[in-house]
Amino acid sequence: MERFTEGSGRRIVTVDNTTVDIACAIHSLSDADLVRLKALARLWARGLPGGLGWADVLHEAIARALEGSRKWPPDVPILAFLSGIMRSICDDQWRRARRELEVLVRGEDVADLCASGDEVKSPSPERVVAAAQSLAAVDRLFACDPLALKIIAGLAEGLTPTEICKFYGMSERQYDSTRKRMRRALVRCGLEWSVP
Amino acid sequence: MSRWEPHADLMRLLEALGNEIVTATELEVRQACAECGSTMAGTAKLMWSAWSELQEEVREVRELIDAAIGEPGEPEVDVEKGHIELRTSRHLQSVPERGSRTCHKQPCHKQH
Repeated sequence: MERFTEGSGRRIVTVDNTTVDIACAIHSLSDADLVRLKALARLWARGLPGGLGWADVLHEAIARALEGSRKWPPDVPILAFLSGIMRSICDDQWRRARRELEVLVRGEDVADLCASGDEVKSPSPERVVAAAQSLAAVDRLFACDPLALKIIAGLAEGLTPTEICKFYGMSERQYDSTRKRMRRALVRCGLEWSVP
Repeated sequence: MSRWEPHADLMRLLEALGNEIVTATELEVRQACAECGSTMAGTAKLMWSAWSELQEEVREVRELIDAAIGEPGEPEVDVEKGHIELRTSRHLQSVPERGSRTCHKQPCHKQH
């Protein structure tokens, strides 16, 4: 990794250039980028336990990015990088909520659970319910757009665009124009965010 | 018959939708902003007026970014001057006094 080193007397100060680049990239985001960033934060923050809001998620994502615990790959846009971190925060938050619940139920110490490497494999019932509600909310967001609903269903199942088109008998042109409508709806929703 | 795992479906979906937001063009963002207002006519004129109303939203995110990057323990970046002021030692091998170092770098280019 490229590093920047400055000597000063006996002290050598080394700055991780990635941290500087990340800070610079975030500071340089355009207005449209900021709108997209907020939409991303709202997307990931939706339904999180512990009352975490989009601003908390975004703040934490920036802090983690600057911390350098996660490296910024060269060809990944800064928004995609931050979105990936927000995904991790989302996962972490659900794991923490599950651990806290176990502490309450079993009366164990959180530190013991963490120290024993008690990695939770299955999701908590709360997470399953919240996920089902969020999926329903996304469906409602696109309720007036049958093609978008098909794409949503395909994406949730992990299908590729080609597979979605083939499975639902959609042309490439229909797929692309539907995705454009979806993108606008998602950004809009990121601004207003109250999915009916 | 496989068991339905909504949390796994949701994560896959959010990731895909997140990618859609990342790849949204500036025009699509502006169109979305125009559609947000009560005036949904969608003409170019309305689209641009909606954009100006959106400055409050943008300012909110920018303030959040400033708060996150400008916090103690994090470097303070002046993009225009192209330097980063180190406040504390999180990314340093040795600890300078608070605000005692300024590391210069080339001004960065805007990300798009």
